[in-house]
Amino acid sequence: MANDPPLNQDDAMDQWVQAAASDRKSFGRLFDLFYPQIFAYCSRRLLVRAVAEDVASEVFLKVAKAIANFEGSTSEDFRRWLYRITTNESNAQLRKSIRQQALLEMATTMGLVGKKVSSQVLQTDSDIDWELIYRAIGQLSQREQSIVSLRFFGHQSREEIAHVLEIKTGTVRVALSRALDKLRTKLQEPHQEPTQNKFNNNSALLAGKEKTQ
Amino acid sequence: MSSKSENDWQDLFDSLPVDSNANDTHSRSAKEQALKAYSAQAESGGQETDEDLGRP
Repeated sequence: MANDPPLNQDDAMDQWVQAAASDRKSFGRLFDLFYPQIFAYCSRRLLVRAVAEDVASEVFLKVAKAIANFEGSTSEDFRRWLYRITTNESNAQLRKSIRQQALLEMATTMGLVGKKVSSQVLQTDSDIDWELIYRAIGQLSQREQSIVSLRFFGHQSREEIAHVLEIKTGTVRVALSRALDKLRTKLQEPHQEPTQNKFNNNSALLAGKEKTQ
Repeated sequence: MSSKSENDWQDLFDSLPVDSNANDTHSRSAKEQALKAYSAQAESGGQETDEDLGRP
């Protein structure tokens, strides 16, 4: 009898997904495979490493608790599910404007978003602070924020975003285009200088999240 | 929207000066917690909520 052909990487990942509901080792492999990209997505969306670590951990806790009832069978199904949970968790983290403000202030204090950036796409005469870009993103609708984040922080295609958010690809395309137009318009408006170090201690504003860990 | 414009936006966001590499120590700790939660759900038979399943 001929030997079975060796599994390629995609087949192997699909097998881990199919086994993960009842096999701890397969679940561990999926963690190893996907945690780095989920953390990278969180860190670019949430800026502050400690917060991104909390959210990425929370995502995998939720996955661990729900994996037995996960209905997908491929690594693509699993990845979309992960990004859906991560987007929901990140949005929940940012939903309170005061928390978003605290994250921005903390990121600025840490020197993460104080740097100027210039880009042809902004069509502005002067360079712009990252803080302003994040503030502009924060003024988009929740769905627009999710689409922009998945596209540019999560590097997801429009088709993938449609699957993650369970909407049509055409809807993603239109919403993304509108969201970027809004961002460009907001960033072209005269703006106040970023309010660096407005709060002396932003950690207190984030404490509510950290205490729940 | 042209793909060039979208690529320009991607270049802009890729220039964000944030270290997005996962820390090994934290990754290990997160994995331990996740495996512990996995084992707990396996023993209890798995009780998930809408939120756990990523439903808004």
